[in-house]
Amino acid sequence: MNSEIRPRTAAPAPPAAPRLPLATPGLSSGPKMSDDVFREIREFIYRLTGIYFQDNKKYLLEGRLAKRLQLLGMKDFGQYLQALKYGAKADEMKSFYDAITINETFFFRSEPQCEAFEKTLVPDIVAARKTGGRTKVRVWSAASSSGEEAYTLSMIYMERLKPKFPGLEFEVVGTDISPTVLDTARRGVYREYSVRNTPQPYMDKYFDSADGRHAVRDDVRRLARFEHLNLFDQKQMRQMMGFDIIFCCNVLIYFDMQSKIQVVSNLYDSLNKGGYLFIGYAESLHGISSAFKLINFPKTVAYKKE
Amino acid sequence: MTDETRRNIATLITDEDSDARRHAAEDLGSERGLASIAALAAALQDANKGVRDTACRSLLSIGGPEAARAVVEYVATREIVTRNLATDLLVKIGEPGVPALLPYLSDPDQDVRKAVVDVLGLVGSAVPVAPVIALLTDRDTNVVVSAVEALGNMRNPEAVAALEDVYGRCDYARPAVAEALGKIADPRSAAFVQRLLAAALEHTEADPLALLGLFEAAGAVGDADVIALVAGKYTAVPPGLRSAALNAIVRIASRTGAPLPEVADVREPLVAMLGDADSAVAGGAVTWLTTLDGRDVTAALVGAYGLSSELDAVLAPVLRERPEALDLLVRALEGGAGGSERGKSALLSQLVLARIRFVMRHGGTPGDEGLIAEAFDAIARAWEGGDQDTRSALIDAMFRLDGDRAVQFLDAVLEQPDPWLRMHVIEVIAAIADSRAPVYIARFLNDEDEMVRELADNLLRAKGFVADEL
Amino acid sequence: MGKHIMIVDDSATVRKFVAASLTMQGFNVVAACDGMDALEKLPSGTFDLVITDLNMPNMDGFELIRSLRENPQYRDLPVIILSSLGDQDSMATGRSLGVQSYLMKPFSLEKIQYEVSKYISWAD
Repeated sequence: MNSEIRPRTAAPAPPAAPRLPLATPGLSSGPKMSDDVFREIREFIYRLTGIYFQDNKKYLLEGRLAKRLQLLGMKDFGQYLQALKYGAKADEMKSFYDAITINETFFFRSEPQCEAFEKTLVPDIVAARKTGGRTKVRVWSAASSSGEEAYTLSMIYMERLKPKFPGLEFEVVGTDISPTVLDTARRGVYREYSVRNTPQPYMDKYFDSADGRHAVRDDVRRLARFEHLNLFDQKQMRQMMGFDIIFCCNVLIYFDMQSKIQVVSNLYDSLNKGGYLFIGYAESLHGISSAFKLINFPKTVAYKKE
Repeated sequence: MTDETRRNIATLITDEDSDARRHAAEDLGSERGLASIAALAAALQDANKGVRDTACRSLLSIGGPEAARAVVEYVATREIVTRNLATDLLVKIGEPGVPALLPYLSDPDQDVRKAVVDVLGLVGSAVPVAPVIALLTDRDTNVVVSAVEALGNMRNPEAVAALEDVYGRCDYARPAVAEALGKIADPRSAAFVQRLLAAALEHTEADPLALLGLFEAAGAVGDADVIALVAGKYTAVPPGLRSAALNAIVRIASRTGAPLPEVADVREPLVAMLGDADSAVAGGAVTWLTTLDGRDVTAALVGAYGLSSELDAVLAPVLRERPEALDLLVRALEGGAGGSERGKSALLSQLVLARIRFVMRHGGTPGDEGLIAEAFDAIARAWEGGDQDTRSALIDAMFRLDGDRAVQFLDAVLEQPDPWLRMHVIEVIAAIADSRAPVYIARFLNDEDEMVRELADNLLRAKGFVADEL
Repeated sequence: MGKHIMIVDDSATVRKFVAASLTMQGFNVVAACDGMDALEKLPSGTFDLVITDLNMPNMDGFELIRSLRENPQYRDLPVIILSSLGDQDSMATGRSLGVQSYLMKPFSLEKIQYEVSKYISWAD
C-alpha cells in the first residue's frame, strides 16, 4: 500500500497584494448562554448520549445551538432546552443531535489501522474459523459519521482481501447518532476534501468522479449499510452482536470516564471471541477496560477479545 | 438469596462459556450478599481476562469493608495476576478496606508486606501512621523503601522524626526519604531538608539521586535561605542536576514571593526546562526566563507555545510584551514548528491584534507588510492538517491579518462537506464592517445545506438586506 | 536523536529516579505506569530498551514481556526487569521469557547505569 499512496492536497489561494486588516472581527455575536443554562444543557446531553461538554467547550455549544434558536425564532437557550425536554418533535431532536456531534473524517484516515486490518486482523479471523464453506466477517464502524471509514474498509476488502479469500463474505455496519451524516453516508457522494488521502488506484477503481464530486461505486456501497445508533443507549447497544472487528475511532474522547467504561464494556460484548477493537490514534483504554488483550502493530494498537 | 443470584453464582463458578461468566459477574455487581461477593472475589482468578475485568468492576461498585475483606486474602497469593488485581482493587476501595489490610503488615512474606504497605500509601491520609512507621525497621530493604514512600503519600508530620532516622541509617533509601519529606510539608521536615541539602552540596561524592530528591523537597518546603544556598553552590551542582536546582529555586520563589537570585549561565538549562513534561517545571522556567532579555530567550519562549494550555496561559501575556515575538513566531510557523499549530496560530492572532493596537495608539506606519504576508502564508499552510477548532482560530487570524486574502483563501477552501465550517465563516464575515460582506454571504443562499441557507438568510435580514437587491 | 528507553513501574518515585539516572547519561526516557500503558505508548517512538517492574496493575511485567516477545516488532527489544520480587519462580520466569537482566530493588544509580550500558551503547 505504501508505494501507492499519493495524498492529494489542495493548494491555498495565490498571494494578493497585502493590505491592512479590516476592522477586527470577533466571533459570533449571537445569543449568549449563561453558565447555569450551559450546565443544564450539558447535563441533558450527557444523560441522553454520554457525550460530555467540558467547560472550555461552552462556546462551541453556544455557536451550534445558536442556529437552532435562530431558526426556531427563540430568544434564549433556556427556552430551547425546555422545548427539547418537554415538547421536542422528532425532527428537532434530529437537528439537535446534528448540532452536538462533531463529524470530521476522511477516506483512508489511518494507514496503520488499514494495514493491520488487511494484513493481520481479517486473515487471523478467517484462519480461526475452522469450519469449511462460507466464512463471514462482520465489521462495525461505530460513529461512522458520513461513512468514509466504512467505505474505506469495504474498498480494502474488495482490493486486497477478496482476491485472497474468494469465499469470504464481508459486511460493514456503520452507525451514528446524527441523522444527517447517515444520509450522506448512504448517498456515498463525497467532495475533494474527503478523498484527499485516497491512493490513486482506489480512486480509479472504486469511485466515479466528475466535477469535484466522487461517488462510491455500487459494488462497494452494497457492502455497507448505515443505521442510527446512540452508543450510550444500552438497549440499542445490546442489539449489536456478533461482530468480528469494531472501529470506534475518535468518539470516546467526547465521553467522560464513566461513559467510556460503559461504552467499551458494551463493545466488548458486541465482539465475537477472537474479535478486535480499534480506537483512535491518540486514545487509550487505560483505566477504562482491562478485558482486552493488547496487540501491537506498527504505529497502532488493537484490542483483542480472547 | 434469590434464585437468580444463585444461578449467577453458579454460572460464574462453573459455566464453560466466558461470555456467560462475564454476564453473571456483571449482574452480581448489584448484589451485596457475602456469597456473591465471595464468588466475585474468587473470579479474580478466572482464566479469562474479560471475566476478571468485570469481576473487578462489580467488586468496586459494591465496595466497602465486605468487598475488601473478600479480596484481601488474595494479596497473599503467589499468582502475580491475582495479587495485582487484589491490590489494585484495595487501593480503589480505599479507606473502608484499611482495617482488613492492617494485619497483613506482619505477614511473614516480605512481598506481601510490601504489597500491603504500597496499598496503604496510595489510600493515603486516612491510614494510621504508627503501623507503617514500624515497618521502617523491617528486615527487608524493599519493605523499608515502600514504607518510606507510603509515609510520604500519607503526608503525616508524625512520621518526620522516623524518616530523619532512616536517612541516616539506610543510604539506599535516601532519595525516597528526601522525596517523602518534601511531600510532608511541615516545618520540621523543611529544617531537615535544608540541613541535608547543605551537607549534600558540600560533598562532591553525594548520591545524585538523593540530591535530586532533596532539590525537589526543597522546592516544596524550602524558603529564601534555601534559595541563597542553592544559588551560592550552583556551580558545584552536577550538570545533570542543574535544572532540578533551578526548578527548586523557581518553586520556592513563586511559593514564598522571594526574589529570583542572580545566577550565571542559567539560560540554557532554563530553555531546556521549557520542554519538560511537567507543566510546573516548564512554567517555572518561563517565570525565570521572562526576567531575562534577548532574542534567543524570546525565540525559546515562542517555541514553547502551543504545547500545553497551562503553559500557554503564562506565555501569552509575556510574549505580547516582547516586540520581536511576532517576527519569531512567523519564522516558527514557516519552519513547520513542532507543538500545536493551532496554538501558535491563535497566538499569532493575538500578537497581530496587539501590534495593531500599538500602531493605532502610537501612530506611525503600520509597517511590516511583508511580515503580515508571511504570517498569512504560514497560517494558510497550517490549514491542511487542522481540526475544526484549529480552523476556527485560523479564520480569525486570517481576517485580522488580511481580509482580502482571507476571502480568496476561503473561496478555494470552502469546497468541503462540513456545513459547520461554512456557517462559521459566514458568521465571521458578517461581523466585518465591509461592504463586500453581505454580497459574500448572499452566495450561501444557494448552498446545498439547508442550515447554511437559513443562516445566510437570517444574517442578511438582520443586516437589513433583502436577497433580490444584492 | 539518541537512544530511547522506556521505564515501566507503577511507583511514581521509582519512575522519577530511574528516569533521572538515565537522562543524566543522555538517554531519552519515556515513562509508563504499567504494562498496558507501556504497550499503548510503544508505537509513539522507537525504543532501544525497556526496564520494567513486575507487580503492576492493569498488566504486570511478565504479561508485558510476553506480549513483547510474541510480537515480531519487539521480539528482540532488550528488556531489564527491575523488581523487589527475589523468589526463584519469578527469576526463572524472567529467564524463560528471555530478559537480558534481572535487577533487584532497591536500585542504585550506578547499577542501573551499568546494566543499561551493557545492552545499549552511550547516547549519540
